[in-house]
Amino acid sequence: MGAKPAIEFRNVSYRLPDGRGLLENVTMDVAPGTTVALLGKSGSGKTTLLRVVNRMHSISGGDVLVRGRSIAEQDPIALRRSIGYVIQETGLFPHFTIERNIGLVLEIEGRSRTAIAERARALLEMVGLAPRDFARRMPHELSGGQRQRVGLARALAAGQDILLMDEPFGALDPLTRAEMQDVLRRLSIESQQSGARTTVLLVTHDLDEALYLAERVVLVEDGRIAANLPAEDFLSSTIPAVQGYVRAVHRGVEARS
Amino acid sequence: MITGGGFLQQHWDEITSLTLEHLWLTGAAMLFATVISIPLGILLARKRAWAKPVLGVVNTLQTIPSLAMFGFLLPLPFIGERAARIAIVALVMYALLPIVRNTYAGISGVDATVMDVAEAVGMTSWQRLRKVELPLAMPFILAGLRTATVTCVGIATIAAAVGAGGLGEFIFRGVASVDNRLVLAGAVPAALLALAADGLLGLLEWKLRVPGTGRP
Repeated sequence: MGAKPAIEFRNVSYRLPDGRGLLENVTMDVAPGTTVALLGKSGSGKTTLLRVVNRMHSISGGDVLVRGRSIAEQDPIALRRSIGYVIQETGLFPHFTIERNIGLVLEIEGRSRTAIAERARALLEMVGLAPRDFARRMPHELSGGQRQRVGLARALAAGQDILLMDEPFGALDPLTRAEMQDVLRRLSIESQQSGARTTVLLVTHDLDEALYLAERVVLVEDGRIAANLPAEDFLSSTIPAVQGYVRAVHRGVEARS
Repeated sequence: MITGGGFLQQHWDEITSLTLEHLWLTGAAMLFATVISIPLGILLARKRAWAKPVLGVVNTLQTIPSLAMFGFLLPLPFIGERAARIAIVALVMYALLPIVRNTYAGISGVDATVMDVAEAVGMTSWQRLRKVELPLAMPFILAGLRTATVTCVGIATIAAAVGAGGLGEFIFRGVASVDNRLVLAGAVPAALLALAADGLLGLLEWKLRVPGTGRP
């Protein structure tokens, strides 16, 4: 890549006030314009790793660099606005229209109403929702998949070049999930082509999703990085932790073959 | 009640002025109570540890019988000097609980996921309060204001006992002179005021509800 990493974790530790360690000496780089999947079981620390990036958790040791600068030196409000955030439950504001939800970051930055409306409509198109039908609706009038598209549009609205995604499609049925994965993959390809180089850090427990969307797959176990591999090498890896994970999620196939 | 028309004509001016006085006592009390209670409710939602003791104190105020409350305020400097002051302070005491409690419940009940996102997208704490917490808690806050207003309209009738005026004036006079028409001249407008306040605030509450949140 050559360019400096979009996100760098340097010996990052995170401990709860009661002393329990959720992250231990995590070191890794996320190259700009790539998608890195954080894979691991519940409680492994993958969500915590995601949330230290936008300072939703304050690290206890080490340093995190975003766009080459330590996050400790960056204003948390400005840092968060520059990073897209997508979660499983979408967290759309129930009292905002779809358009206003998408334009949220623009609104809190004080952009003009017309600029926000224009941008929101362009993003609705981008995630495959007709603005004429959806802009004025309320979140509860949408299906789970549609809401997730809106969540994605919101995360991209202010031109964020880093996206943090925490099991974004975890609550969707398998077919809708596949559809959303295609949307994300298409957006990521489009962004590469336009030179935007959007970097995505994706937390998932779905191995297939990780392999489909990410260039690198990182296996997190007990707050440590057990493996950090190119996606194409993951299934054939000889690292025991990786083999264990792959075996555990592919039991159905194995049992029938 | 054949003489009813004559009675009304004779007392119309007084009914109007006492109704206005009643409205003024209730309105002033509600204004003070709102200015105190909404920020207090927000503060308690931020500092949950304080919620129980503070709500306990406010709740105790609520249990003091209204005549006793007027009695307690009577000897106080400044407050006790004017009947209207006593009445307004007493009404504020009763209005605190429903507003504080509902503001606290409404704000602490906002979906944690929504609040997490509000913070993670970079909203300042003021923006979170103004754009997310207050609008989502508004139906609760209004329900509290509604209960408080109705309570105040009712208790304000007793304020006449310390000479603060209002529609209670008629009721007390009517009871003293065994004149049911006088009692009704106070009771009917007071009941209508309470019903009107309840209806108007209920309508506002319904208008501002947020569909799809699973909350009223």
